[in-house]
Amino acid sequence: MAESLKLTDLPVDILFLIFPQLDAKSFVALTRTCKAFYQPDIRYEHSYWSHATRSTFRVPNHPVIQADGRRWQALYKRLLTQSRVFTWGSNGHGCLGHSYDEDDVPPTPAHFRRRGSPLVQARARRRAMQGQMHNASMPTEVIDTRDKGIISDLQCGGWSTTILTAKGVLYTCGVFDGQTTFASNPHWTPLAFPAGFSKPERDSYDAFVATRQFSSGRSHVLGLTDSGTIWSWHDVHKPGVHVKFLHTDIIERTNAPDPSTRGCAARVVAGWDKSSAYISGTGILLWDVIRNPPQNVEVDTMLVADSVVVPQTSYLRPARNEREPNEELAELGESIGEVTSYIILEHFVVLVTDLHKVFASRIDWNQDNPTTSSLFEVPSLQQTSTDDQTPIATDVQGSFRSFAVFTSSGAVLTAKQDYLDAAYSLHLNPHSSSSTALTPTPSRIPCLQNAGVIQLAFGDYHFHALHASGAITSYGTEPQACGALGLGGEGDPEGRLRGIRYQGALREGVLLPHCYTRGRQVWFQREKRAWIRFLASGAADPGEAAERLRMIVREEDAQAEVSDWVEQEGRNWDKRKDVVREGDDGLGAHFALSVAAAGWHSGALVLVNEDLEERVKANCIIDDPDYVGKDEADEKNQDHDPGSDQSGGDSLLSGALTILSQLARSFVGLPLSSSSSATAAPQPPSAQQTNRPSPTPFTDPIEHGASPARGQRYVWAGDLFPRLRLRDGREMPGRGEFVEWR
Amino acid sequence: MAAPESTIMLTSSDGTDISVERQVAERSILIKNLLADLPGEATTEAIPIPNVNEPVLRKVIEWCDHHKKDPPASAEDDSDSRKKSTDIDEWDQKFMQVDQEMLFEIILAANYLDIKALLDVGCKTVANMIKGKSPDEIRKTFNIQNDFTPEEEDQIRRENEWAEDR
Repeated sequence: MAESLKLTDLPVDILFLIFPQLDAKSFVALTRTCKAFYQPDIRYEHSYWSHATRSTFRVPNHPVIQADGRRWQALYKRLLTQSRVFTWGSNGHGCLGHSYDEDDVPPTPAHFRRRGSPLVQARARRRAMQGQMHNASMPTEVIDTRDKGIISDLQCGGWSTTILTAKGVLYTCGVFDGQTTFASNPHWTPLAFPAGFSKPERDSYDAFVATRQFSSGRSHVLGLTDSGTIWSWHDVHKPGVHVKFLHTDIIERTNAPDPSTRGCAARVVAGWDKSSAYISGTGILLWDVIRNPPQNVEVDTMLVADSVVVPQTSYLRPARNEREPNEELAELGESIGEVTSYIILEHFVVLVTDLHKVFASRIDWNQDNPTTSSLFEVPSLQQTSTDDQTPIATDVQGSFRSFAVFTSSGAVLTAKQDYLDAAYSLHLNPHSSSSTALTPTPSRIPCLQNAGVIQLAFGDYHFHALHASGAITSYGTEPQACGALGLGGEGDPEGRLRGIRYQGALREGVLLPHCYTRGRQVWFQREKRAWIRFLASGAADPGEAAERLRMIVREEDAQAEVSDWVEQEGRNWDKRKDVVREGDDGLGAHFALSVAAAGWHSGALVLVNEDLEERVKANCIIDDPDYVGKDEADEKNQDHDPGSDQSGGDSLLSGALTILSQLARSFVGLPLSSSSSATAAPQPPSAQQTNRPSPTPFTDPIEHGASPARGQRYVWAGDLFPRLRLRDGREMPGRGEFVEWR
Repeated sequence: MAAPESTIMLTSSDGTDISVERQVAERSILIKNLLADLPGEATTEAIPIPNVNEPVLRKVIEWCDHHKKDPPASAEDDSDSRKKSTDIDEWDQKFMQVDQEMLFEIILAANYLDIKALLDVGCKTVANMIKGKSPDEIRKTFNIQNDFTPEEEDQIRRENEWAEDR
């Protein structure tokens, strides 16, 4: 026998079986014992950290980043203290969960007192007229969730937003079915269980009510608890219903076996108007949304008679070296494989298997005969080049009528449900006279290809991508300028500078297709709001900028290129050399862990490094050299009433900004005819200097993003509005230097 | 399916032949697959197990014998298992009360012979020996040489402070 065998002599594949049994503290202690265990391959072992992160915090797995151990470890560290919820878009039924009076200024005490300023009131009036009370056009933190502990997942429903905490408690704001009620519910309400069950938000751990995973459909929520029990909620204020099936048994017990054990529910997926669960060894089970049980009857269990198993989805790959029990199964394993992920669209189930193939099944549902079609393969979604037929699909995500397929080549294909309709017809009728090419085609949005996209979240008309860098990008349309894109504006020029074109009487905010090349990131750093407002107001010299601002309104191309420059300048404020310190984990100040969208709103779970956020802020602010101090009492007075006379000692900036009262926000809704823009042309700034009116809210440097507070200014306060050499060779009018592309 | 009383012969790495019930031996997926591939009469010949010596093989067979009635393991994604390592049944805990070298030998044998449940029990036993200990205590338990300089150790301690009790 060899020398005495020690722990350090064990092969790594065995060590990797021991690690998952250790809590993070013990694992870290083990890696600290000697050099052999401290090497990065072990210290940042990805399966350990992804397992620890997911099991400790109930964070859903993202297959695409599975192998990045450093990232998982950083996530684990930051989840301990930093998970925050942000929401934006239409706040119908209170689904954004902002219980304070929402305004797009940050909810810090310094800003709260300005809530009543005339400009803010004017905005509120305008919104009321447009029927969009308290929408948020940029991500706004949900403060009320901070006392709920660590938040591990967030999803949106048609009129609701639901979060899951690390303790397994679900909270919802908004209402599940917005079609049947006008009620509003801006408060985070714990989803309750029937009488007799414990309350997870209050009582000690109980496997039957501790939610392991959940899924938000359009108008209901499905939960899967640690015991393997499926729950369904259709009303925020009513207890959930325990779902059981007449024809399928599901293993439920306190000490639940591994979800991948035969007969256990592995996950639930709520669709547009269907419920589903993946039962290991059985397949994808589909049933109708359970609506209100009869009134006054205490129903805590619902036995579902009409459930359907999607054909050919039952296959489980045998463990390690186990063999197939029979030929039939072996054949299924080679042709279809084991389901690794699936989604429920309005009319289709779409799934990806461990053979990296994409299959779909059409849901044909009527009262008497709920069925789904046999599976059909969709080759065009599982290969990205015509030369190579090898299936490479790794994941499918989507809801309602939109979905996306992820591939191991880094390509991400997005498509609408009508693509599946066409593929289904072709499947039924392969020799039809029409050409074999499918008419609607899946698209490859340029900035999603090989861009580390982890997740795509689809609302009715908009969608977001989450990138491995922790950034979120936006696509599509925000109806009624509701802010669902999260890029800002609410019809104001801020959104225009991000590349949104507002159209028609309903103010549809369409993100220009041009923006799909570079992408448009959603901003979380508050100072960026001030910066974009500053630009939109004409920057340091609105008079000089006027011609260019008008050009942006008139010409789509000019708007697109300026918005590209804004995007370039708006990125990586938290990665700049002067704010990054040694010891930072490289995840930036705001690292989005997940993104969700539905209806007209969105949400994100963001890990916020407050220290770095403060450093970025400090980097944006300098003392105002032009500021002539006043005594403090006076200043306090000012703060309470920013509309009062300030002509005495304010910085020159307000003077430069004065002319905005003419160019003003009229530019927002400016008719496109050139005659009106000509009459709206402002006086040159010099003419204004002599007869400077006292600053109105429209000229207040604070309102215009030039200054964070009296006596201070932002570093950009002296910058001119960007002047570009356009791609078609024209030069934008103005006096300033041309801006640079990096 | 072979009758449960049928026996087969295994040869350990040090040349000892050990007779064992076929059903017991089939807890090992390696042996099970091997037997399935052999024609009926060939199973009378001894199967060589070149990586496992006699004392370890006997210990492994003892475990398999005790667990011969357990249901077969299902397909399982290791990374998703949420089981706690305290869940080792009493008999297994006693069974694993061996010196460290034997424990590691059993783990290696279970891995080679592909006996997932035994491998799990072994790994959990090791994990339980690590849990809740400081790096120093772990070094003592497993006789691990601290090969860091004091400076390195200090830096590593600072880098990992976040994982300490808060």
